[in-house]
Amino acid sequence: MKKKKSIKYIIGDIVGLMTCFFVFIVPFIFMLVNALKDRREANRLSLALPEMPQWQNFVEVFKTGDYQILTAFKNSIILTAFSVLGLVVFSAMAGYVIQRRKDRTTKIVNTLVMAGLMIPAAILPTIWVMQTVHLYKTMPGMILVEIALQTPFTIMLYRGFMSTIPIELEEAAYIDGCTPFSVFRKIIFPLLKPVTATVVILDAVTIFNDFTNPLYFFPGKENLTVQVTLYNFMGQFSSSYNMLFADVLIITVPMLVIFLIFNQKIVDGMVAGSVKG
Amino acid sequence: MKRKAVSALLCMSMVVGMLAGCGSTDAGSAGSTASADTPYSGQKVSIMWVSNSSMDGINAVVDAAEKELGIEVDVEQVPGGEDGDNVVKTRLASGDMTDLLSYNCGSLLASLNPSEYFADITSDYADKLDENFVEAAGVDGTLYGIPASASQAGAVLYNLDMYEKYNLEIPKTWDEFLANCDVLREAGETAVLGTDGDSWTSQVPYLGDQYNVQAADANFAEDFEAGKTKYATSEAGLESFQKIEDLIPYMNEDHMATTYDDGCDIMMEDGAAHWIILTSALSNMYELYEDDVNKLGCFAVPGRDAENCGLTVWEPNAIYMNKDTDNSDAVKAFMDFYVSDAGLDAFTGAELPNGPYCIKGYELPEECYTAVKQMQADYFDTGLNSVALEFQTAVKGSNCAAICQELASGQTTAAEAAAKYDEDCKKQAVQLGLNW
Repeated sequence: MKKKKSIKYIIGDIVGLMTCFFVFIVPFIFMLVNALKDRREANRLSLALPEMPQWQNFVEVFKTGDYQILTAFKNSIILTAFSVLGLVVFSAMAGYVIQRRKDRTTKIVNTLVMAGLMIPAAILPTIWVMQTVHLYKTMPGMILVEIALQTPFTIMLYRGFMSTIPIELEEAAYIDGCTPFSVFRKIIFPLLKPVTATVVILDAVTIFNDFTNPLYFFPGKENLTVQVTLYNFMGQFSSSYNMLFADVLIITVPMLVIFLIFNQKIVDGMVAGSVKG
Repeated sequence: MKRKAVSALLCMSMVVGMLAGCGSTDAGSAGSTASADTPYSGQKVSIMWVSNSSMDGINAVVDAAEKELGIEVDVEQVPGGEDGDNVVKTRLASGDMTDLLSYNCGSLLASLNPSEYFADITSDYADKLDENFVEAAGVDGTLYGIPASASQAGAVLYNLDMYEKYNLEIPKTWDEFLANCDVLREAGETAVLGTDGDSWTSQVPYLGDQYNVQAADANFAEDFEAGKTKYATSEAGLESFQKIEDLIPYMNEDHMATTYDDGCDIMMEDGAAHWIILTSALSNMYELYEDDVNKLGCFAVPGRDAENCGLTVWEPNAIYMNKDTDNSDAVKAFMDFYVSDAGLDAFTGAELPNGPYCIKGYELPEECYTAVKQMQADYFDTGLNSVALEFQTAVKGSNCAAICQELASGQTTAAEAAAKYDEDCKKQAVQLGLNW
């Protein structure tokens, strides 16, 4: 077995690793190195190591604008957590129904939901609606907007995955006396764990990184989200690249943590499988 | 087990959210009771700041105003560029604008339909401000804004040491300028720095030549707006584009890949003798290299006439007052403070100006950049300056930067570029309903 591993495979491995290194690792090193430089050095945007690592850059980022990054983190985390929670709960249910029921109404609903993937949200009418129901510039309003924008995609993921779950499981549950809602809650939803992990990662990253929607629907000094803080350090005429990269690194951390946690879950879910004996 | 962990996490996030929410209201009530003896104590003024650069200046004014007037100022920062434009337009249209807005003046102001949204402040401030600014920050004779910062110019920044070393004099005409460049090139220096990696910098030699165009043809802006004059057919207009072409042999070899940020480094390291750029670059260089910036001087893009060599000036952003504001007294007081000497000193103390102020009677601070002092002495005290074309007419082709970049790369000639730009402007003129 070992002998068969010819030189071709080794070269392949090396090429693959090198590509990964350049595509994924180098940009990260670039950010880290520049985040540790002083402003003049960082302006060159080179990969050279900093003369003196400036760890205080990270502290400075926190201090900028009366610690506004903390407000931003609070807002972004609340926004992301509640949006993802809402998306998982409602889209899983909707996806379940749309996949299992075969009648005309479901088809129409499905088409409407999928239309949401293609038709972008118009800004002014949305603001008008939000103003009318007094949700404009409020966190619940912003959460609802994010949920609405991500729902079609999330439902699509759930619906696709649902078809791999054998309907026999549900039939067995009904025979044992399970109510429809319990079937979903106790049998289907746990089986959806792998796709739920995917949904959590994808939606959390999209919502956390969303810049334009909070800019339009969630304006105001107190309603800052983390992506907007980047603009403190970036401009057409003057940019502080060291602070910018330090800020980028700081706001990447939460998403990295989520990814590491849920990445494991995807693998777990896959291995566990759904039907046994 | 896992379910417990998840529910614990959710509870925690809820509690944190609630605490954070309570925290901010506490801070708010504490702030408003702090100063009771100042005239507008406890009143709130909100300002939306569309920014391309540092916030130091505005933050300093806000701090000073809060102390002086006892008001509470909320600065809401919006990124510049297209996103910022859209945010401003959305907020105006939805009737949810802040009390004050800092935004471009000139053609971009006209596109906002200011009479519908902004208060008329002609009688309050027009006398105190420079006439060019009043024209740019107003529409049809009505003034809407006060200057948010100092003006800037599209001019040539040059290395004073190199001029001394090679015994050069400040050129008064374009031919003298090219002669200087020849000397520098033969001595092995980079005569002109090109930073065409950032396309907006490519258009500065053309835009900064507006004074000379106007010197040759005083009605150029009006005729251009009316569609009577075109760049390709007017001699003075074509010369502006010709200048970009003339510069190509003197530029650094990698000028198509050099960016604005690189340019600041190169100028500070004596890597080039001239750089035709907006003088706001001075601030960036100051932030990077501090007092080294004083080794740069500034002269206007030269034209034909040595006697009439003037500077093309960009008016600063203006601060506009929302027509529908609830507490106009406090807002007015803040604006008064902003243009008062105390307010201006606070601003310039945090952020040195890139050009003279548009407020009559305000002296530039002692420590300001050499180049800015030169601008003040040579072009403002003598009156040899005029505003850039974009403050005189709403017609500005959206592809201007790309066309100039193409010209600087040597792929087109000046005549072709001028013709292309005319074509580009035509699209906008049609949108504006002008008869071209």
